[in-house]
Amino acid sequence: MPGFPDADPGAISDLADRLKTIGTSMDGVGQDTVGLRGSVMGSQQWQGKASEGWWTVVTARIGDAELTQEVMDGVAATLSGLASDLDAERRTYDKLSDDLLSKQQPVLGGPEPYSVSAPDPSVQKAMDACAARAAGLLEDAARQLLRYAALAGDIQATPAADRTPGVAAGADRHGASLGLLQALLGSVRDNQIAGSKFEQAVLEALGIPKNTMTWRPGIPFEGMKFTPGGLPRGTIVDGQGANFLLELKGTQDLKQTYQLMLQERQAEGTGRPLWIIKQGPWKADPSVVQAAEDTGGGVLYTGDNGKTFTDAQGHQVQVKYDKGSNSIEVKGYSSEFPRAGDGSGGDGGADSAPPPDPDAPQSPVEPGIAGAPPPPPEPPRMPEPEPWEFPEL
Amino acid sequence: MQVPVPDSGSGYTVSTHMLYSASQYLNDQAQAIARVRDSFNGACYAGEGAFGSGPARSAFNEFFTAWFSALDGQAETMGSVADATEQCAVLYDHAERVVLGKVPAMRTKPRPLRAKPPQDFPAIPFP
Repeated sequence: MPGFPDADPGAISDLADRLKTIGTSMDGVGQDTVGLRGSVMGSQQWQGKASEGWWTVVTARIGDAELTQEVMDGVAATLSGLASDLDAERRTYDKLSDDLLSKQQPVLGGPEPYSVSAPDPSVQKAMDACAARAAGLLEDAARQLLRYAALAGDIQATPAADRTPGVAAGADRHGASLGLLQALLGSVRDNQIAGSKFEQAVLEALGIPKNTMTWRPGIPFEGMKFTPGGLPRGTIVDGQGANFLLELKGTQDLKQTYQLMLQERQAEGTGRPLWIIKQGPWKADPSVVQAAEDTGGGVLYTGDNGKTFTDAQGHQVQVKYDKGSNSIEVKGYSSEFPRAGDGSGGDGGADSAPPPDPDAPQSPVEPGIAGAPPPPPEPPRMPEPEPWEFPEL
Repeated sequence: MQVPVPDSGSGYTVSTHMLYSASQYLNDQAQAIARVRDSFNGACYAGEGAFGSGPARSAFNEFFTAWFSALDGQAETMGSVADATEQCAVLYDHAERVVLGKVPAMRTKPRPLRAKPPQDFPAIPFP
């Protein structure tokens, strides 16, 4: 006989009220920051890349605050409804329970001195149904809470590496401010501007649905990081399927990070190759390429948001996603770090055949896109700041 | 202070005073988000047991973990934006001082000689 869930509707209702207040506070932060942005950008002619960077970063902070407010409001509404429904079910359950007890009569001459009659099956059935509905309400709420938890991954805030920056060693007015913004906020800008748009565009081009499932390492390892709640810090790849994990990077620099390391572990643990699609023409750090290829995947480059791909050597690579089997097929990829005895390719794993003749089309590639395109241009570099000294006063 | 930007070519101006004020404002927003984070932590701590022992409890913990980190990241990042905004203003001011250091001294008319008291009558030698 299932008992009524031991949830506390009153406490859930209180929690909903507090989350609603938190949402209101975040709405205030967003509105205030909108006003500030307007004041700064509207009251003066601050132009150039530094001002663009400032506007972009502050706009992203506003977006984060708005998303937080929406989530807190949504969770508050969910919990408020849950508390109300649970309370109603609880009342019904208690009333049925009272009826059940009141209908039970003492049995004279029974096996025990204080024997009572068997409970009314119809009332008992109604109570069970009540408890089952309450459990269902909690399960629905759990699913919604998990969806709201996943939305935290859309927050673009990335703390700058250094909260106490020094003045750059010499630059003119533009260069100094631009360089400082890039140094302080570069990761933020990368994540927000390039990242989200690039990811969305590539996923749409390939037809791969956005993944929201978090993976957490199950086996402890040295350097393992934990969330404030004590869980192993997890990662959410941008796409995943039967034979692949997919990570999209719209940033200029791509070096080994804890996130990528987790994804490599996920690939090894699940036996699915990790494919990283990076915005060209900037090349990924070799350590990233090697780690991805070790999983059977590799690093692909695209300069047109996922319409075409190349490998590091500039050879055309075909990537096809099959929705029915939820798998990808990668053809024409040449490994930078071939493994001995690895001849697989074309089924989601890296094609590690001998390096192809750059003048000849890759055999697995369709004639329409075969051929060796010119190598991608050198990545643009930031100009070195000119020497600059304080004037003698 | 309205600082002209000599190398911009467009003659626009930047108010470093405005940037300093914006920095302070952003820092206040960072503090506000940090307070929201703490309120969120308190609310979730108090409400953790409200879901009983079923799947809703673990889902709520997942929600708390994810959004505590998100709020913490927002507070920290907003502080970083405040720092960068202030440093922008500092750099503009420094650059302005450099510019001023290169401005040659203003050419002016020579100051008039200091007035001298009238000389005595020429001494008349005694006969």
